[in-house]
Amino acid sequence: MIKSQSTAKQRAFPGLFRSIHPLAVMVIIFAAFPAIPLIGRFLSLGTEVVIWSLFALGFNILLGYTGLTSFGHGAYFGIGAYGAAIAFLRLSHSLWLCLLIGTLVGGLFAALVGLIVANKRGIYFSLLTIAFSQMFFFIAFRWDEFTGGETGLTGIDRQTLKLVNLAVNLRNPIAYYYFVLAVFALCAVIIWRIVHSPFGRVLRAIKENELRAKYLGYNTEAYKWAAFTISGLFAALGGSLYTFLINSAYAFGLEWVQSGNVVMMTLLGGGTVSFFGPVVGAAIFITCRDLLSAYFEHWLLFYGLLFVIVILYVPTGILGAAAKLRKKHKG
Amino acid sequence: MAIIRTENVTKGFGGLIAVNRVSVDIHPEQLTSIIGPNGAGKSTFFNIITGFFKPDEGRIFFRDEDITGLPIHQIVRKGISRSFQILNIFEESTVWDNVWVAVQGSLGYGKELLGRVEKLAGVEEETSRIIAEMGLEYEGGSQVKYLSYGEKRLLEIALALTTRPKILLLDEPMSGLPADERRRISAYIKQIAQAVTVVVVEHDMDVVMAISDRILVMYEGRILASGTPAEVRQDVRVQEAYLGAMP
Repeated sequence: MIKSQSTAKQRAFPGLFRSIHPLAVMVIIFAAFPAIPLIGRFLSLGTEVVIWSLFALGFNILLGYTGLTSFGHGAYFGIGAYGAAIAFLRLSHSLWLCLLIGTLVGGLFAALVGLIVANKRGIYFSLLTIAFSQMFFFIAFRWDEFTGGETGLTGIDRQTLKLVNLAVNLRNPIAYYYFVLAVFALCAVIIWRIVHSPFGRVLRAIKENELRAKYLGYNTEAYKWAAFTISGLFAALGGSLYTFLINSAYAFGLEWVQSGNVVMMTLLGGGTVSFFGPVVGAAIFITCRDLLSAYFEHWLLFYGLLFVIVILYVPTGILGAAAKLRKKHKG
Repeated sequence: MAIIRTENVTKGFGGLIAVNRVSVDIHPEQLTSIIGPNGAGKSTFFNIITGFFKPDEGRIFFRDEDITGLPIHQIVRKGISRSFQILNIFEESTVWDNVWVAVQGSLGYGKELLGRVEKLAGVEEETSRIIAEMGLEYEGGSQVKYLSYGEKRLLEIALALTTRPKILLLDEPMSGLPADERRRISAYIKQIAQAVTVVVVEHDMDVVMAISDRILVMYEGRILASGTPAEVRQDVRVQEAYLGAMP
């Protein structure tokens, strides 16, 4: 019998890398980044790319695998950022604890919102996610005593990380880059396992035909809630790591623009057809944002245009288009 | 004991009463067909029994248990499964993946967040068995959208069967099929009816008369008549409302 066990390994990286697991290839590329001439010295930018890649990979569980378009996941990134910042300023300077608290708080908010939105479909689902994200943004923006309001929370510092007998000074940008990369690698493995698990198969079934999935006996609303919450957890972890990158947390992290950015990254890279699409999208998006904003005052105009082009002409994103070209080339 | 019993089930859409105080018993180990002209309420009645619509009034019982208003997945788990008038399968997936996800659910898997699909006991064997039973073993890796319409119908029925139903409701399974495919599907339905209670909504009277043990006739949202094929064929009200004079 001809089975259809997908060989994502082969699809993602042809040629030289075929025998290596694609996740390993991705981590090796990121690990080599600081050594790349010219761009390797922009470590802060590189760290941001890795953080957004983590956010987008987690977000793609919802968008690419379950077929639910949330325009509000920036909120959980922002809540995660605040959770870590508040934990640092009021509770403990332990990086691990702050990351854990930030992630859990953001994930908790996602779980609560997920309970309300999981049974909604299409535009109603998307609109509700925006509504909640804007609500959280305004609360964060106005609640001066707790969130610092317009000025945000500052004074967060990366402490020395103790790993058994090893002390790593995370104030060093290279050390923090590799720390973030290690967290990212671990999360990427977890996300890979999730989307290729029996649970992930159900998510794909829901994306393709939710009614049939229901008539196979699956409680699709529970699965959608779980996908929403899990993606919220990864968003919040990304936000927590971001707090320690910029040593602060701001309400703007919760704004709908952040939510739009992660959607854009996921679609641009090809998250609807490839596991690695969000990573490619995040890398291009963040890098172009820095380059364009350095030269053009109205750089957002280019982004709007890019979004229109992707939606109209390359709906499967860069990796989707590349796969099509490769297929065409093979005949 | 009836496997499905409805009591005064009513469903309206705006000013239209699609199903009007319908009370029927569906008996186990029988192949029951529901016939009637377009708009008689047959598919709406199916949709109410299977949880797609909630009735405005009335109750639905499955083996004497009230299942009115239960969500679809719970109704399916109790043992009620269905196919649709318009094909309802995973069109973009392969035959193998369609059956796999159905079998995975029927064996109680699907919540394993970090589990490996290849380690699910029995799923691969059961998937292979079902595909072979459908005669689609050489199409396992093909995307469903490239199958013939009849093969897709067959697949849809197979998906409905993977949930191990006690009763299977088939909504116009012959719709859009050429004659040879009709023969194939009706033979398959008769084979299924040996083990599972089957209810069919169908317009093809040759098929209905050939396969049914009992026929319910719906007209303007109500049950107009019921009986064996011979009884229904001779019923004057049925002839006037739907069949016309039959030889």
